[in-house]
Amino acid sequence: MIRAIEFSLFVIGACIVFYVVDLLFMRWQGLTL
Amino acid sequence: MLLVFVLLLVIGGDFLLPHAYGQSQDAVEAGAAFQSGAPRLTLTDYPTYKGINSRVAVWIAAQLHLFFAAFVLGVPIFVLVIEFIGWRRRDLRYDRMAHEFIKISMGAFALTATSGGLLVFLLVVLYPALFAYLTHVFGPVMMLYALLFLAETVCLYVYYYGWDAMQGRLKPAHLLTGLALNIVGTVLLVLANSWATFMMAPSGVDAAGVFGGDAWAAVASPLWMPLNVHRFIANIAYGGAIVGAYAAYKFLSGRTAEEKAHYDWMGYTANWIAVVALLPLPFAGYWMTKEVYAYSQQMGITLMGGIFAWLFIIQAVLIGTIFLAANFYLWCGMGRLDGRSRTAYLVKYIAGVLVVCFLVWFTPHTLVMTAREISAIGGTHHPVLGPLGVMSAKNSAVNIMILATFLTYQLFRRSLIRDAPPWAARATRLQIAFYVAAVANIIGLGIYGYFVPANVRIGLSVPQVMTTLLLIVVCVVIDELIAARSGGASKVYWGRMPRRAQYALFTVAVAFTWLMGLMGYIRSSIRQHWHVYTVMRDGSADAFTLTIGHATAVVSVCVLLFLLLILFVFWLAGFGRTQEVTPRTAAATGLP
Repeated sequence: MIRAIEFSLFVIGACIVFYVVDLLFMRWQGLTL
Repeated sequence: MLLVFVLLLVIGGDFLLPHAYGQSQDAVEAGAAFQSGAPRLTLTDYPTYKGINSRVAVWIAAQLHLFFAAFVLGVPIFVLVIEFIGWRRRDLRYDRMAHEFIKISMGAFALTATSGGLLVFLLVVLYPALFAYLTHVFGPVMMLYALLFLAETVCLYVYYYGWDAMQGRLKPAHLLTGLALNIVGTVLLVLANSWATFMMAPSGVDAAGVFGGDAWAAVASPLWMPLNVHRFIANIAYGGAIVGAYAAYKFLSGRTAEEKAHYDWMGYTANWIAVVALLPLPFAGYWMTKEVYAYSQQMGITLMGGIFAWLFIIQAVLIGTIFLAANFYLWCGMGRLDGRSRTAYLVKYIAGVLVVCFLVWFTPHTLVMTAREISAIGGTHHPVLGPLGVMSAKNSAVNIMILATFLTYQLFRRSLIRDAPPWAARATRLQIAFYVAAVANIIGLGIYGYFVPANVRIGLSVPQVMTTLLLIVVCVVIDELIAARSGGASKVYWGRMPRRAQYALFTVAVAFTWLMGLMGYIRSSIRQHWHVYTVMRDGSADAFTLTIGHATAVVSVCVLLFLLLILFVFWLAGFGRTQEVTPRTAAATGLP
């Protein structure tokens, strides 16, 4: 159970990382998501 | 040779400088001929010879030259890196492998020069007006190219023949020679690229083709740098693929376990180089295509939306073949480890993902159909599969294929780690979480692409690529941390590979060669009926775009000719073989 919660947190964290990357690169190109 | 080079520099110092061009009587006459710009050519300006199709003759010579040139420029790059690793680790096996790699390219070097000479003769004889015009613009650049070719020859000979003599204390000097070889080789590459990109997107001339006198302006075409980057990376991948085929050939013909172990390790390294260099290649290609569109939208649409679009379907099939063959080779490689890998069960899922992505990638946007078929299907697009034929879906598929290939490699690498630290399980879960989020992000951006304007959709490919690269970086860092704190590496039984895995290496080499021929044809042919796009019209009888069947047949002939010649090079490398040091043990664990 704890592992499942930990894994879910990892996935959410990784999603946030990629979302920030998406935003940064779209802004760099002058585009908006 | 070096003496001649120095003498030329001393005696004819001005001769090398661009401003000197045009001052001699000959040069003044040559310049005067093009005062009003590029010549307007008619059929009579093209000498013809019975039984020879000028375009096909030049095409085959140019393609063979490019195959060999890509090979001999790509190989020294990773040879230098491998030699450097061997020197730092004081491991003779790396040194021997690097030496053997460069030995193969020695045989190919003579064929590069020969095919280059043949190309120049054919251009002079069959396309004299075009060659004269190009010489008028690029005269000083061509002089520099010839001198650099001389320098390349000197560096290569010193590097190869001095290999054994320059060991120990002289090793740094040998490495510097290798560095000089690569620098000269890269400059040669970019100079030759400038002639091709000038013909595609002329710069340094006005609309009529009048040359402004600045050779640098002609070199720095808008497409020059994207082509430089694309070819530089592709040459490394191509070099890796061809030496991989050589290693497979030697593995299959090897008689002893030591020989097989050595060539298995060599094949693994070569495949690794080819795959690693292949991964960023689609992105260099996107940049190149973007610049083509930016230079001329018409040229871009001809490239991606016209007749050539179908060749991109063939391209997808070939790249998919490379991915499948390279992965298959890596999967077979798990047999080199002790016992069954704990992650081997994942292979079937990775294979499934690769096949699905492969199918998405080569789904055509518009199908070739009869009127009856169109009415039966309800339009030119397939009702279900049609949406997969656009770039949003294809970009997503390519990125996931790259991730799947990286995962295959990562599984092999992780299987080597013995006695991992206690926190490794948690770190692995973090890696899996990153994979899940990365795939979700790539697919999410792909789906989002269907609902936004084209300019935003094209822009979405950048975060998709960054997602892929970021995931690879995160996983490599975590794996290295785990490896650094583990109890050591498991044994790798080099040579314990099935014969069929070697045929996968042949497949990679053949598919790469075909791919290069095909994409080279596309790049060159989007000029259509122009020698120099919008500046110098092709007035020959061949000023038309070939049918897909005809063009691919010529590309295939080029590929077959190259394969025959490279087989000769492989045979030559073994024929002139002297006694060589074989690896110390079959259980060597060196990994790149």
